[in-house]
Amino acid sequence: MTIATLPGLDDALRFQVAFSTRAGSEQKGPLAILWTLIESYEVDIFSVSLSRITRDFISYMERSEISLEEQADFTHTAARLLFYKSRLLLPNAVIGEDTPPDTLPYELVEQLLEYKKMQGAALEMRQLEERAQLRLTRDSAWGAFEQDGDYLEVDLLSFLRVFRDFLEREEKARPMQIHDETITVEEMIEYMMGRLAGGGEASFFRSVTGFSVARIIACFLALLEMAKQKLVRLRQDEWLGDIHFSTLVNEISDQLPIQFEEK
Amino acid sequence: MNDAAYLKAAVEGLLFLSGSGLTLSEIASGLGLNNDQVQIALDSLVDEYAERESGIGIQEISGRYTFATQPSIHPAIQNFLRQKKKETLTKSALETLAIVTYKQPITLPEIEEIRSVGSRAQLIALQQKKLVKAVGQKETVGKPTLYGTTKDFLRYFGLNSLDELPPPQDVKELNFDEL
Repeated sequence: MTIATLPGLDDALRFQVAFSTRAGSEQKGPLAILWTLIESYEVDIFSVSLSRITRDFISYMERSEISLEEQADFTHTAARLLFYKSRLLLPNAVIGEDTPPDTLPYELVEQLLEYKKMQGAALEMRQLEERAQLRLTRDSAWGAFEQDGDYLEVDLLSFLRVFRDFLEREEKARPMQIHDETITVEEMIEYMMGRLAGGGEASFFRSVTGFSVARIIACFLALLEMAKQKLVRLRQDEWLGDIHFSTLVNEISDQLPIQFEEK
Repeated sequence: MNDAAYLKAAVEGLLFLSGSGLTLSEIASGLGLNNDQVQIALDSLVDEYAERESGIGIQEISGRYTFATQPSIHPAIQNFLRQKKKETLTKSALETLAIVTYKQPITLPEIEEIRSVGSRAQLIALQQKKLVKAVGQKETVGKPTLYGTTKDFLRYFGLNSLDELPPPQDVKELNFDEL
């Protein structure tokens, strides 16, 4: 913490501005510094000398270590103060009847008062924040009760042992086999028509009993194709029931227009 | 156990089980009762816990009733959990948050005008903490984003609604010594 003594008009009006030089500490903003200066003058805000506060503010900027990011904000405020001061020097300066010269302009006073109001609100909110942190709910304390004992103690060797056991178990597992089966719809049509060789009607369910899934699908496609070619008549008595098929022709056509291959 | 005592016990049990708390309507619809009946039971429970100087109490935060520990036993909890003091908002972040809270909806340039310093970093930090969110766009040139507080803001400060915040005091109302 460094105490910078800034020059006042005389010794009685001298003031001190405290600021932290610790790395990472928060720098006061320009309005906060203006308020520090105003409070040190111990006069009403409407009676503060514009010349004096401008000089003191610039002096503060020269003496303190303002971060590069905040330099622009401070320079902007200093420029504003100089602008207000220079405006008063103009011959046709518009000053309210009751406003004494060399005092802070109304717009700056309004801004300072608004800023102070929000600073006060921030202080109230700080108290609320601290009070709220003293009350814990299940949500806010979630995870806090998790102790180290909740976790399994696993060393590298036991971990490797478990991994080896897992690999051995996997090796013993029966490998899955994929059979490559080629069935053509044409073959299935021949088969289905063969079922009708004795005439009458045949059952689809009975025709495919014991077949693989691929062969059943091929049979079904064959049946559809046969119906399309007007080779058979289909009959189904109930929803999802057996399909009965009977022949419409005496001979199977030698050349079918479409050939399917089902794997 | 009469009906009123049973209802109170049922509400207590539900609140005990709920993690993030329950709204009045949630309890009422869950029990097949109207809000007034449940409100009476809740008020009675709140008073009971306050009277018996319990380590826990029922608090309404952001419209949800929940069990919360009493501030008086916080040192014991902190000691038990070996918790460090929770991180609080930085001064500049809190200052920015106060402006958003009391002036919402508000744009970034308007915040910066009040603070007279760049406040984008503070606003981003507050958004990351989910205390502030974009609530729309101002119908003016450039359509700047308007910011407001969130439900997490109420939970963070242990408030039920923004109305519970103290009104900001005008500087003219303060004594010179308070400045």
